[in-house]
Amino acid sequence: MPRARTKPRVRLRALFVWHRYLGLIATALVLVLAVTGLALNHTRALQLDQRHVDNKMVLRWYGIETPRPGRAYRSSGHTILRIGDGVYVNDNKVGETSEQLVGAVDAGAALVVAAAQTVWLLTHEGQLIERLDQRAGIPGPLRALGLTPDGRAAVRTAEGVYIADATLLSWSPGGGRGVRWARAVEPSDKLVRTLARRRRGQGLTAERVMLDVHSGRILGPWGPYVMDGAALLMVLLAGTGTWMWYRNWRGRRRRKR
Amino acid sequence: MHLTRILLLATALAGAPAHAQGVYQKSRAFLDGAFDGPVPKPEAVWMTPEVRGPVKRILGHEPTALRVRYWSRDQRSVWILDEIGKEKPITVGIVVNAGRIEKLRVLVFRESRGYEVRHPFFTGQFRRAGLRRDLRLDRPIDGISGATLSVRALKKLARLALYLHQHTHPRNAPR
Repeated sequence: MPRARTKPRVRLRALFVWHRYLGLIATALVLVLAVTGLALNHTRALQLDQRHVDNKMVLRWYGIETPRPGRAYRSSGHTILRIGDGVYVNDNKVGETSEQLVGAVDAGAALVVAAAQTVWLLTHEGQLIERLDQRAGIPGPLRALGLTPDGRAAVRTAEGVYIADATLLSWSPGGGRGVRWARAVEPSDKLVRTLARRRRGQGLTAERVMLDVHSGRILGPWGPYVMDGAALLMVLLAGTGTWMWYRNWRGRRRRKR
Repeated sequence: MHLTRILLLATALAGAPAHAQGVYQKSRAFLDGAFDGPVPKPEAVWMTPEVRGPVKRILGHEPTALRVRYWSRDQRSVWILDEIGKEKPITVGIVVNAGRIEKLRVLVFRESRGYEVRHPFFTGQFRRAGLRRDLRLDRPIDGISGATLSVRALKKLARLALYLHQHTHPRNAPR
């Protein structure tokens, strides 16, 4: 008789111990799942898809490097440079390209910025007037951009020099005599730091990081299995907890009788 | 008619390369083919408030540039325009003659999907299309399954070219 009574008590105690240790192990992971899950449920309200991550450690973890500036030019008090894929006039992004800039000049009617295959015509406030490529009749790749003695924009290509008309609509072959070609300058450290910081985090949203933490992917290829383990632990906890509750409930009922 | 299109689509897809991004025709070549004789000097339409409103209605967003370049002789105008399909711009050449589309051709396709829109069985639908007063095309354009965004982009550009042609050639505006 005493033997039959101790057996269920030992089993229940063992279950309780398992439940306790499994709970301890699962606590950290469950907290992570719960907090990230709550946040993701309110992505829009928290604007997670619009906030960009600027933390160096997180960006390094994702392999996102600080972009280095390409060539910079100065024209009419503006600094024009490329950082990452962005083309900037001061701190105002005006376009995107993976090409090296070859010059920037003020042609009176517009600020003209050129890369190997693209020319941007901008107002002096940085608004895009037109983006030119080979449809404008300029054979690429462009090697330099400059101003003629009478202030017209000129580009140097493998096929010679092309000079724009006053409206910057037509570009015709011309001589390169007297053209002042734009020269690259060193941009200010402050501007480079500002733009680099801005560019660095642009590809990574808070939502992306939350999703990766929630799924475990942030830990690499084995991360999802860790979260799978947490999920299984929670199932076990639910099972052991329910079983313990049931055993206690049954015991109390028997004692009442 | 629909069966023919389906068969043509199936045939086109059977031979389609896995990655169909590419330059299908250079802008210069498109311009040369659009005019008899030398290509006229380019002109520009500026996004004044009068023009910006209808352009925004057609595109569904603000125009990205302050002016649009075009080439014109008599009642024919040629437009080389870009519009984003899903993520990358599609470059399209459009010839408008007397208020109707004479030719529409995909010049550069940069997306990884939806390239079926470059085929003549699709672009041919735009031939003779005109613009209604409500800035919609005056005929339905059959879509392509799996290329919805590319189809939408081309329809927008067709409408845009027709509207800008009417603006620069008032005689061709619908009465």
